[in-house]
Amino acid sequence: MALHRQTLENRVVEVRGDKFKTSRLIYEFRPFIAGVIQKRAGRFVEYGVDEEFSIGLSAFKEAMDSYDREKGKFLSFARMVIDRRVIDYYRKENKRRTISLEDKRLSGANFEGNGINYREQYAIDEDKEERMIETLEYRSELEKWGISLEELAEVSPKSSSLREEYKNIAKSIVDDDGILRTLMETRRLPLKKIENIISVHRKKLERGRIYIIAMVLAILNNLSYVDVAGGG
Amino acid sequence: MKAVIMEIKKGYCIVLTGDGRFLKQEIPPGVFEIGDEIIVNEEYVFQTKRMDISRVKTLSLAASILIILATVSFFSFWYMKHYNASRRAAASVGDYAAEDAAEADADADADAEREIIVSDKDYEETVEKRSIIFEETYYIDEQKESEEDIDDTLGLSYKIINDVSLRVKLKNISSASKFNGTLTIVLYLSDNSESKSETVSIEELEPGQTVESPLFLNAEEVKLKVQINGNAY
Repeated sequence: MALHRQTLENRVVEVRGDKFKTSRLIYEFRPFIAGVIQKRAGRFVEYGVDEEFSIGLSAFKEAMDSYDREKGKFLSFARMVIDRRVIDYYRKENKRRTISLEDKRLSGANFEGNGINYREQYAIDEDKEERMIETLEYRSELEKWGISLEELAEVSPKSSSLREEYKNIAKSIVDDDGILRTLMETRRLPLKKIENIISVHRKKLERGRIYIIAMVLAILNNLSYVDVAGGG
Repeated sequence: MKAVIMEIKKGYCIVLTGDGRFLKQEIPPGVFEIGDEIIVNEEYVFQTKRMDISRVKTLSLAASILIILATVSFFSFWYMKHYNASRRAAASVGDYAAEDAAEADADADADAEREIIVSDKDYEETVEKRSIIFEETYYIDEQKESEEDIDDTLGLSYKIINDVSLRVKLKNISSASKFNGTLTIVLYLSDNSESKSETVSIEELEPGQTVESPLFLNAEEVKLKVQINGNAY
């Protein structure tokens, strides 16, 4: 029972005209927007504090509206649009004197024009883009469960053997349709059912509850960069 | 160890390592973005500042003790103030009642008000040493027995027994004050000449204690003067 993942490009096209879904997608990709701006700004950009962030949100929306599949990967395109809009903002505000207007990346003038080979200019390693999308979707899924990454960093077991044990439990949960269904429906670990299939102390299950759920979601989201299957 | 950046915060990021560990890692600003793969190092694991638990416990204990001491002191002070005041006020009310018993009985509210006024005044007075000077003359043939409170601390009474003996009694009627001083009794003849006198030295007259001075009377002695000098504290 793995979660079906739709390509980002399809999602971008499909959500057009649906305000709620558009907002949801923009919300989901806020970290990506922040990352692009931070790279340009060379500093940490905070939601709701830095004006660049609202520029970035508008640019992302603009990218969603103007994207077509011929332009290649959506994130590459969106990155370019955001970057350009932030540069325009800095130019206008004259806030970032350190930006070199001779920057080769800026010399393309009109990125929306037909002759621009933005794929070459903003080529991202496809693996990286895949990781980014996976990460953002995984984060979004965790958020639905009320689990923050800060919290996970606190509760994540330091002991590798304990981590392996929890990952095995997560795998067993995913392999058992009944337990997985109960978990997804109730959003609670069915401790008794798990105890029936795995010999584990209830206290241990309770202590590792958040981490186990995070690992279950990692398996369901096919998080490629984590070895959740166990075995090191 | 390789890890993927999951979230970027100010000064650090949260990464997920290949073996499933979520870590906070220090990073320079504006260099990395989500999805970037970095090599994590235990040396650069971001540590949030935590207070030393033992220090917190010690501070909490000290604060609790201070609060308890302050509370106990406050209520002790409050209790003593009201206890002393009510005792003295009761005496004062009795004094007033002697002057005007009917009025005192008729108006309970007035008594209560008076009690408050007296108690505040008395409390202020007991805090420091208070000088008491009293002098009164009594005609022996007018009244064979007399009793009065000369102030909040002392009560004076005299009694003529069988027309031959005079007993003057001084009593500490306070609840907490002591009295140091002298009691002088002077008897006068009908021509106002002094017949005899006696002075009693009083040292640390405790609450409830009495001092008596018996004297024999002559037939010609018609007047009695009582003098009290001293300090209540």
